[in-house]
Amino acid sequence: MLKQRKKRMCRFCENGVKYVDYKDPKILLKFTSDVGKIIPRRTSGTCAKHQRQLVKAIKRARHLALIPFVSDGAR
Amino acid sequence: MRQYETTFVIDTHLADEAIEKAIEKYKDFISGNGGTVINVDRWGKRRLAYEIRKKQYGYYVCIRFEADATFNEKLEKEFKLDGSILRYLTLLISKAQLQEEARLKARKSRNFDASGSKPEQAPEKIETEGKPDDQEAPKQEV
Repeated sequence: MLKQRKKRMCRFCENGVKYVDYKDPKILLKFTSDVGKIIPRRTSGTCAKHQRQLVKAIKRARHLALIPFVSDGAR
Repeated sequence: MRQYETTFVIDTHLADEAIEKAIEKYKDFISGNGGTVINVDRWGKRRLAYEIRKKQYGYYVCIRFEADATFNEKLEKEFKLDGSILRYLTLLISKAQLQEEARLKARKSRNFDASGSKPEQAPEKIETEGKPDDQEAPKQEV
């Protein structure tokens, strides 16, 4: 299932993003699953550098209750 | 003197004036301890992603300021002792963050360019853009 689109670009690199902000839930939620889990790099296509920044940002946002730790998909 | 950013969440069950008073209190606490407030960003009342102390809403505030390295400990202690602050997070602002903000600002002011900017072009431009920001913001704040 994952071998189909192997060479996708990192969405942050494409746009030249240098810093992933924890204060931006709209973007962060795109990288979490429907239950709120962080999507792995091999699925999202993010590069290593941005994935590290992203994970840090997501965890900070979770602490500030901007995004949930767990959600049940429907909400 | 380094730039910091602190985001905190105030309980919405307080009256509006009490919330304003709390924000002023922290602003004064920063200035009183030798720091300079650069910008105060009030996000207002937001729904929390999960309940905190049985509450569903919180009033978010983000303060950008400059202070020396020893200040953070005092600030966090203040937050901790304040019963109306539900969450707080203080961060050092990295160069990457400043660059990103300058990049986004440049993009907004250009507006016609739909195809996304090329930040790699002029790294120096980005750094100098950062400085005028610092000087502009105190005027906005009052």
